[in-house]
Amino acid sequence: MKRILGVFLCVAMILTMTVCTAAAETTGEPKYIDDSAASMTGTVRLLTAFKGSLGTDDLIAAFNEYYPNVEVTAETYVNNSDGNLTANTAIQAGNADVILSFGTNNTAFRWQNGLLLDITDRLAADNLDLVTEWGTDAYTYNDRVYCFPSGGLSVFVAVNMDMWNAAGLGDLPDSWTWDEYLDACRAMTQTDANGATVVYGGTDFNQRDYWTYAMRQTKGVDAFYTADGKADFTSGLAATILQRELNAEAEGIWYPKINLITNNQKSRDLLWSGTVATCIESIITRFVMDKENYPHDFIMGYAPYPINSEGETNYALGNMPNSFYCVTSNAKDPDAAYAFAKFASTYGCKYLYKAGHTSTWTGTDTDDIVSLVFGSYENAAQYVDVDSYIKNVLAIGQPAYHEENITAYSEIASLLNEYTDYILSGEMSVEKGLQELNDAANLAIEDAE
Amino acid sequence: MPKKKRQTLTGYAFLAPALLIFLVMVVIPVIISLILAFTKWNFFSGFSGLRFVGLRNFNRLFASDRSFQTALINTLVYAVTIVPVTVFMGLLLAHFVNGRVYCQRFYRLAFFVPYISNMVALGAVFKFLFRSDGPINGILKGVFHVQAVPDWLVSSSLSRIPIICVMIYSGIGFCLIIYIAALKNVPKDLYEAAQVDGASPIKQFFKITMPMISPTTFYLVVVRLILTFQIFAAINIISESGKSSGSVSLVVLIYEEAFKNYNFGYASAEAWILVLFILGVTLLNFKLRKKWVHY
Repeated sequence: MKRILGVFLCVAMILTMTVCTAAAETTGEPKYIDDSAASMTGTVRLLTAFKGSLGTDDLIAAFNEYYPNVEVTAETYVNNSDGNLTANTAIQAGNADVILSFGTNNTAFRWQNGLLLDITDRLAADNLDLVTEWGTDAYTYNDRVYCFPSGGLSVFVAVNMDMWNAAGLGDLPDSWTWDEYLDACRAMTQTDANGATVVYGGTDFNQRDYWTYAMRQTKGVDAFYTADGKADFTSGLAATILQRELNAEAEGIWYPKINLITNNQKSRDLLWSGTVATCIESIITRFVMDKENYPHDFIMGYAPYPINSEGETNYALGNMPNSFYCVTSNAKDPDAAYAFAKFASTYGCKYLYKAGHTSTWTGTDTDDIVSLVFGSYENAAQYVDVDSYIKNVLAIGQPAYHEENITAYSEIASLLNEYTDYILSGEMSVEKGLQELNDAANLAIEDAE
Repeated sequence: MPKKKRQTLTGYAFLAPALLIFLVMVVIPVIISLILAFTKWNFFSGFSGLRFVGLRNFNRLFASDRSFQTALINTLVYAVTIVPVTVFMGLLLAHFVNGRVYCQRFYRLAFFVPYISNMVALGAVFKFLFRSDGPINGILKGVFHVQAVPDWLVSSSLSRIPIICVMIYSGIGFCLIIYIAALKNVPKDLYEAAQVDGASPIKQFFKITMPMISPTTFYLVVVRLILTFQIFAAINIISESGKSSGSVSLVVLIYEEAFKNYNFGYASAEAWILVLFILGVTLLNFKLRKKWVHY
């Protein structure tokens, strides 16, 4: 009797341990697709800046292969201040379930003001670790998660290869400093008989804060902040960057950025029209195949974003977190909305490449991307230098800037735009502008804390 | 119920819908705006996000807000340049059109059309005209051989000029129509008597026409001043730089602060400064009226 009881207990223990182990293994696996996907119902209203042909239709179709009974409709908004105001109002009114939110400043504003759903517990239930899946856990608020940090941006120098080759500059570099890049701009700049520039060697992207990517390139983390959380615009790096840009404009080799802003011009349009030979860019791949609307007859090359000093790590080489899929706090069907946002941030993340953005999901298969964006390698070669695209846009395994401190981020971003205008228009000197920016940013940080 | 009381109640009953709309759309928002001026708030955060900050918004406005100081100066500059030029040009053209000219109706229409045109469209046209590679610089380069053409839209001092031009262009028509009506009401026998006395046309204009139409001039000055203090569309279209632009006005600043920075408390404080400013200028006008307006 005792022997039978003992054997029974052993078997029971062994069985229990086996079941527990199996359960532990099951709960440890990240769940990208819900078990109930095939039967889940609901509607998801997606707010995105990308129209159907820029990957949104493909994303929805791919989602519906797993979730056939969830209806997804997409509405586009323009990623500028008016467009974001419209988006925020739509979210508050309950007219959007998922938003692809651009920029840390816009996303931080949304989670600070209760527009986004807390998905911390859902992520935990799905075993999705932010660092493992997307490389960072910085984009949280009060230790709660409100977004998938899945969309990235790759910053590079877009090159008119005809002008590059005509200047005898050889192969595109794997790495170069700003001085070397400006030397190349000098070589490609063309002037008329009166000495006026007719082709500028380069220009910055048509967004006010793009000069800060040179700060991000050097610092690697928290470009706007010092180690103790104060504003960092007076350490000298920012002044060097801005003065360098102004000097290049004064020399006539760099198209004035203030003109881009006041004339509402896009840097890529200057590249297509031959007004500039190169430009700092991030999303230009979206337009390169559309020769009907953006006529040009050259192959476009991708050079790496320059570094400030020789030997520095180039944190602008990899994909920087830039866009975030978020479930809105007023979502009609939160479960369906979360399922869509999760899919879009994992298996569906690759479709961001069609819009010129990138993916930060560690599971993205970059071998597929050239074919996804261009149709095939052969087709891609008709428009771009494919090797440099793979090296500098897909940028597999390259160091990337990221943020860990985002205190008062949206306020600082707004101040940055304001003081950039003062400096570029000549209303303030670089030193004075940066000092006032630093003081105002510190006030905003104190206020937020 | 006594008849008078019944009549009073009936009056209020008829007034009630309009009073209700006035209360809801004007009085209550004004009171809320006054309260918000002493708070830090954005409406996306809901009522729980409302924070009372006392006079901090006003302190910041006058002590350290560079764009507010620029906007205040710009608003004064616009008032001082746009209003006199618009009123004077309106009077001049009205005097011309009111006289014996061919195609009088055509001229009236031609000068009035800019007033009824959409300011957004006018702003876009003037922005194109004043671009660094636009027609005006093209004429300066090609006809007048100016090498260093100005960057009208970029320069913080010159960026006001396109705004002033479009506001004068659009405002002349209104002044013209009002002045035409005023000129027609000046008694002709005054001119006949002056002619008999040997007064020249210029003397007749300054001694008869100007005093007789002075109430109209007063009205136009006050109205145009108030409108000029509220410039928004022209600056919003012509200038892309918003609050950091050299041409920013107070209303543009208020809009940016409220709807781009979501800082409703600060924007309300700016709005109240604007209200007090307009009130002050209007009261000053009414006080000075006795000296030059003849009824």
